[in-house]
Amino acid sequence: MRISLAAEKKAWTLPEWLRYVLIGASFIAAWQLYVSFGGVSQLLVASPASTLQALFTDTTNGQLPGAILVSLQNLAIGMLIGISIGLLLASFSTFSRFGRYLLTALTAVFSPLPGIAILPLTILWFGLSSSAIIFVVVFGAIWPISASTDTGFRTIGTTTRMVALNLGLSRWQTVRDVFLPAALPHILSGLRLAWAFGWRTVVGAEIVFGVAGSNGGLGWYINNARYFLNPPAIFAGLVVISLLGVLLDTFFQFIEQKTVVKWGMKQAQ
Amino acid sequence: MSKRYWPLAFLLSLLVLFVSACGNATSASSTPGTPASFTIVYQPGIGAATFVILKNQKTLDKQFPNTKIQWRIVNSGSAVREAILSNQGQLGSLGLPPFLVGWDKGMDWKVLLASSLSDSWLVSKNPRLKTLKDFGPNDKIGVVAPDAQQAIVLRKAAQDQLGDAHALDHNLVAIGSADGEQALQSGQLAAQLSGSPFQEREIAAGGHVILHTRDIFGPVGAGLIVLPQSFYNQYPAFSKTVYQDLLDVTSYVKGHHAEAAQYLEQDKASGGGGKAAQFKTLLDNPNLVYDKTPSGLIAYATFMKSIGLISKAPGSVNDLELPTVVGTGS
Repeated sequence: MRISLAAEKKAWTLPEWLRYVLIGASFIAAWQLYVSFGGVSQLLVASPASTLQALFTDTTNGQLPGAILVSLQNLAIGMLIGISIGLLLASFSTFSRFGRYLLTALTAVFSPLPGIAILPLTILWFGLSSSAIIFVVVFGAIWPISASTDTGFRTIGTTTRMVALNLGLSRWQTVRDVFLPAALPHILSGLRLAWAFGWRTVVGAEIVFGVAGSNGGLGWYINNARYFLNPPAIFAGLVVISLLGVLLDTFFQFIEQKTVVKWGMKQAQ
Repeated sequence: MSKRYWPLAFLLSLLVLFVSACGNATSASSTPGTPASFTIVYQPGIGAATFVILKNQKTLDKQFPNTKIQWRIVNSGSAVREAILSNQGQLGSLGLPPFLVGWDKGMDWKVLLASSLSDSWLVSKNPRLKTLKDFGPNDKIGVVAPDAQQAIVLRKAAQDQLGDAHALDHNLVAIGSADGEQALQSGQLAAQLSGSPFQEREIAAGGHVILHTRDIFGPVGAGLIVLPQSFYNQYPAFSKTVYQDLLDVTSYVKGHHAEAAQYLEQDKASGGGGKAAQFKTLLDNPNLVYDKTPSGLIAYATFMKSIGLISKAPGSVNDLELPTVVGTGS
């Protein structure tokens, strides 16, 4: 007697990365067709080919790398300060009733304000320097981080809290060794949100800012391309901004994979 | 693809076709030979005098009752260029460099006539800044755009005085004339190079002049009034009438400073703010020269090409001119 199982013939499906590549490729092809045959002026919409050429030219002459560095620098400094302040506010809110009222009130009043809205004010306070942009990023980052950290702290199970008390940890040790890891899923999602806001704010602020050269990031690069009637460079700048945004988000996904997903605290997406 | 998605795909492709067909079609008006609408795009300041008067006397509206005449004020020559590029405007008033940048990139616009030439000043309130050499990396200079006439003159001055045309590029801040004046007063900007009436007010508020633009390229570079070649070819009689009207209104301004000053005071957005007496003083200034013949086009183009801001220079100035002024100019 032969027991045989019919082999399950699984139909070969496209690997996921290939699907994304194909979608991207067909989008680019449609874009090229539109520019070539849609009768639109090359001064209004640049073709993928000329965008690629602008990318290459401005990367080799250092303009794009310089602009990328400046934008990332503004973002990083702003985020670091914003994260610190956000965490402090959330800790304060967890450990004191006044802190909780303060955080609720501040968040209610300030979080609806987009960073760009306070840019004219920060230009008055800090002058035409990158401090103005960094302040705006800090402002945009504090609210999501403090809100999500606060939620994270509040949802820590009683068991964990009691263990910390049992161990006789000091307040600072409690926050650092027990609360922060326990609240990590919330903190990470707050961070992810804050980075996303921060990136958009940095680019937008740099465009409004209008300051040249050493202080100019990607927003300035795009605006400069506009002044010199260089749509391929504008498109190239947009491509770079989008790619960097995707990279930043992927970075956070990676961190989540290595921490909260691995620890079973969150479903993998 | 499953059959049930065919109608959706069909609707989507219809939508795409419809959107791409929506375009910049300038429809013809009921009177043949004249456009349905005509928009004039200009910048604020003393140079707007002719446009303000043309607007208030409603000359074009009376001559072409079937054409909708519109007026738009924008902050810089680059903005004028964008308006014309996206067909939001037909006639533009701007400096030589933004016109040349547009021409270099393939826009089909040409010079209808030149407008006026005046002296712009680099003004600072900081006593430490007396010459271009005194500018450090943190001293910001306000110009309306990095490719504006003032910015190009600054680069020529940097080349002459500092040996490098791009020496001050990192100091430039793109800011409108009115906002720049505020920024200079509050100390945000170390200096500003714009025009009248902004620079006179800055001097009155305690500033001093570091350089005069008339000293850099010489007495050339009158502002340009431009029109797309395709528009001129489509409506030659209309364009010639506009040309003649602009000449007439320029003569009027030359002969009626007090009235022109009144118009400029009333139209704050165009004049840039100020009293009629102040505008009259500006109009009386012999440095303000009205000239319909374009000048300085070759000089500016050669310079801009030499520092890499444009890729080609015109063979002759006629390449840049409409039949109204062709054969003249430099």
